[in-house]
Amino acid sequence: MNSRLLFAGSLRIMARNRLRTLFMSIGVVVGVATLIAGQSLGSGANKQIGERVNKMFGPGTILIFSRTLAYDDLQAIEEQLDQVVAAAPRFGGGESEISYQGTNRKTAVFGHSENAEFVWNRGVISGRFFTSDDMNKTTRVALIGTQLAQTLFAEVDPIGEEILIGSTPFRIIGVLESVGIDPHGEDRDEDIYVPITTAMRRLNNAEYVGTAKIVVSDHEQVDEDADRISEILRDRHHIAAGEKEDFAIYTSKFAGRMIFKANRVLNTYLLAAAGVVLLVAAVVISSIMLVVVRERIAEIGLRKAVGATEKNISLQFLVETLGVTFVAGLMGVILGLVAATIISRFIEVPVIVTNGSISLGLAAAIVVGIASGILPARRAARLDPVEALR
Amino acid sequence: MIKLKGITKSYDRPGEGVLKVLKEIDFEVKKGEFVAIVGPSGSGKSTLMNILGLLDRPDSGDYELVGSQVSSLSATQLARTRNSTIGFVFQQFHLLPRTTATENVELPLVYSNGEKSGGDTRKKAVDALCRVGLEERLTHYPEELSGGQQQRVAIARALVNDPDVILADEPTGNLDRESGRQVMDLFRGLNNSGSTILFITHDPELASQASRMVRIDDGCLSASSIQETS
Repeated sequence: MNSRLLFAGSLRIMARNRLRTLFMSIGVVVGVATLIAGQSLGSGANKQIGERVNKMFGPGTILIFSRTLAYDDLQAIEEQLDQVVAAAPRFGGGESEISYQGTNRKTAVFGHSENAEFVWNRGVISGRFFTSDDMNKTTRVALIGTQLAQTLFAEVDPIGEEILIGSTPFRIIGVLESVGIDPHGEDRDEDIYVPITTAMRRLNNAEYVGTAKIVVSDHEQVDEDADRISEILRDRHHIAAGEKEDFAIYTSKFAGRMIFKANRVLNTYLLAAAGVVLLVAAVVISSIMLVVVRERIAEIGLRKAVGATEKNISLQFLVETLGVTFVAGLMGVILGLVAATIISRFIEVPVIVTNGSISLGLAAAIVVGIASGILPARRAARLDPVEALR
Repeated sequence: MIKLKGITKSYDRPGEGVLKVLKEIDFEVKKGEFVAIVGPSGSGKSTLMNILGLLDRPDSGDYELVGSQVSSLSATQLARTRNSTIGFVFQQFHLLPRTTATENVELPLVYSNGEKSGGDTRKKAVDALCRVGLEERLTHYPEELSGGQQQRVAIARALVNDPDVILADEPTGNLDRESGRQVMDLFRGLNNSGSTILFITHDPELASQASRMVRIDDGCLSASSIQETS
């Protein structure tokens, strides 16, 4: 058999039946485009989530929440676990009344230690951060978020100004780096930070810190380190085996996993949608090709008369179907990338194109072509030439 | 070239019982002959042609084509044999629509093996079209050609693979008198240059142009109906 002529013939037939080729292509184009757009935006979202998780938690970090978490607990953890790079407690976060020259607001006030700048990954854009001196002397100094600074002081440089938290006067020593809205929808640029010792003793008379963040040396080992911390805390809080813990521990790995899982659910839906579209496309293509076979009975009979074997005929119809779906797949890839690029402008998610996703799109188009072409091809191949030529 | 011995073929028609179309046919064609098969419709001549053309299998009997038994060949082997040995010409032309004359003539070469498919298939198709006098119509579509021209394209297609025998089923049945005459002239010319040609017709006048005429009636080739015309 001369395959060059066979393929040339298939191409010719595709080109000469433009409307039919268009109808056969649409489903595959849309299906593959959905697949590619979903994959590209999904990968982009994953990368972005990864970066945000890192920004929020930082790699190799462990968060401890406990109503009975004491300063001493953190010290014990630092002493017993070599992997700890730094540990920083955080106190409060409840809303407090604040005022400046008659302007009143309610906002979240946190107590932080001097190493929060590193551990909680938030420094100041002007002024200075807390020092150990602030901790020891329980000084009445405060750092404020950019949004709050804007609201309270507008044109005035906030540094050196005095505000009231409740009824206690605090002097502002710095403006916090902007981090925007957190995943709970709170604007973290409205925050006020004060030294944790001041917050606990002067403002609240509290015994426990409530929250702590620990940075460990190896991100990959963070879950194991968290288990060790859990053991230390159980021991220190006298929790017997089988008894429920009075603390909760989250690691940066765990947080990443949770968010990735949510993203994966979304991606799975998109993948399923593309799958349904492609399935429908296969059914449509198959029925169009069955009609085509019926229309071309005389041609098939003639081809058989001049020497086409069953294999030749079935290959021809398979190649015709596959040719359409493959070209449609290529167009779907291009359309998908264009769509992803446009959508990414609106939802501010980067587009990441991988060879894997393009291969997946084209493979899907080929699978659709074979699946939908096989039945019509077989029917054509089995036609009786005598009947077909009548 | 062609030797049929004891060929029978019957069809099972629901309600009408078994219909014996061909009854013990013995038939021989020598190389270079120009044979007409005549008979009324329903006489079995189309069935005979399908069996001769390897499009259909007999129920029993032996068929020797170009020195080899073809009765026991597989479907694929039959297709290969059709491709290399037989050229078909049909009453309805059976040209592919929206496909140029050259591309139509090229079609049998698509399915050729070995030396026949080698070389320039386009040139072979053009040569065949020149032989039927259509060198001016190479890139025309069938829709743009007259009936007679279409049939000549079909004859070029039958010639392109250089077959041992050309089988024509009512080749002038859809043509006007003048075109029909041209087609018959073409056949005679091809026969004069060595081609073996068999054709079916119900027109005794056309049949008389062949070098030999065979009459089929009710599934039988009676010895008395075979006559030599010289």
